[in-house]
Amino acid sequence: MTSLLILFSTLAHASEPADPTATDPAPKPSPTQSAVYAALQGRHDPPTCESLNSASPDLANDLIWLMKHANQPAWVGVRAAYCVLTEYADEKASVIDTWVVDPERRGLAILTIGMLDKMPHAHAERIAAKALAGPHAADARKHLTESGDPKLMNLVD
Amino acid sequence: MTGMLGSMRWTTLLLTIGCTTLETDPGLKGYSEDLCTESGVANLNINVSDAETALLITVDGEDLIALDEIKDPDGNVVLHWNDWYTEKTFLTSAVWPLASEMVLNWPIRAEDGYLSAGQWTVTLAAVDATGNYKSGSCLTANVQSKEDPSFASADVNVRLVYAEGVDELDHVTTAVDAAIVRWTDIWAPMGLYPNVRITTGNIDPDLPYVGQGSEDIYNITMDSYEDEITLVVGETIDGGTEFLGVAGSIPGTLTANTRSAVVLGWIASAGLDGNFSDLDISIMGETMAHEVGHYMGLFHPVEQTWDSWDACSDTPDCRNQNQCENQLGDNLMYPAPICDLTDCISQDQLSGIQVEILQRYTGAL
Repeated sequence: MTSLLILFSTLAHASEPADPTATDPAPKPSPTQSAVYAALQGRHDPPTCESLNSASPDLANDLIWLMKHANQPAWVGVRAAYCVLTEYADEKASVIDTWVVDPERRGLAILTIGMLDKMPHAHAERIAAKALAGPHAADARKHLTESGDPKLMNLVD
Repeated sequence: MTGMLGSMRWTTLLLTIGCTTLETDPGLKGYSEDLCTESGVANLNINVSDAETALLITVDGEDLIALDEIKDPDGNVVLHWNDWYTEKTFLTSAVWPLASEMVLNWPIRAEDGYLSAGQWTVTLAAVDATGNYKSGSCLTANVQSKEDPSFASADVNVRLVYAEGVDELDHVTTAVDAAIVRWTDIWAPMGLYPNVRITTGNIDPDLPYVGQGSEDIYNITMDSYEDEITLVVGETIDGGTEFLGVAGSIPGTLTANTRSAVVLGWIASAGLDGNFSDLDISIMGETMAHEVGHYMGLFHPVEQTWDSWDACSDTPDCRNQNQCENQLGDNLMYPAPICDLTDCISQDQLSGIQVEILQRYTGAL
């Protein structure tokens, strides 16, 4: 049902000429974005981030697209963000930097801050510093203090 | 392995030689017994009275434990492991030697018959890591029973535990309260009523993956009452957000062991904005009902490989994603929500046999 809906939507979108003046309140996913969305949707046993490569040749960007546009179920965007953090921390460093300072995305900020102790130190310390100076500083202080990573904990002091 | 009875808050504890008898809330009785295997198996003999209608057996051993068979008082084998071990239809996880803890509820469905009075024999197997039966393996079996002659209406007592700090997040507790209302609405037509007691607990908000067992889960569950399912609400599960909810086992126990809880991570339910929309709350209520449904014995009506199913003859054995979504997409136990990026359909239906299983769970009182 879902896959058909998405497929039909995709086909309709692909067949229409682009109208630069029209607003598009509901962007349509590409076939690869639909495939990644379907893979991330289940309640249990999510696929490994690595395995998603078979669904998309441009996985990092498709994941970021889903983070922006796939609002339901809520965990799709969350799982997409997790995969970007774990698989594309270097490639998408500048994008990830914005995740801890967006006042509208507290869940993403908490997720990102919570992942810092699993990321390369160069990224972790940079992102932590931004988080501590941003709108989610209280969340950042709490999570960094509890991280158990001396370098991250020292940033709070 | 930790003992099961530990400091679970039983109302009265009476000790007899070699056997612990437990007096509990009206409708629920229990005792424990120590056994050791001979030729790889041990027989647990259970004397069932006229009034008892369902059993919940929880076993904690030194080796991998699995159910070998169940015999009724007339000596008939009513369940044998080999009938379900490799089947593509799932009835209970008790037949699989997955862990040193095993949980069995009996009867499971109406077609499994009733719990006739007399001595039932539950044969338990101890298995080593290579799959061979192991003799001289000692285990503790905890037997709980309920008296529920109709299986038509039941309260399900749940202790909801907020992990450290989560109870201080007003937007989370408000959403959880609303999700419980949604859960209640889903279950009410089936004659099931969650009775939720909200507490806080000394457990890290990054919750353990309870399906693999956790001493933290054992410790937190020791503060639950003997008739309560424990539902822990934290921030994340297993260091990330891949999991939104996990049930310890299918079915789960009412005693304390390392899998004796359902865990739920709030961030995966709220999404990237960290706020709960009405739809987020509705789906979180469905997630609570879904995960506790697992804990009470329900499998998915179909797994997402589309080649294995539950043992309910009234849930169709569909064969591919489109067919399954059409036939089962609104079922509470469907393995994935049916959404189109921004909206999802309600998943709040259960088949008659799925309701039979929930009503027969010994914790449905």
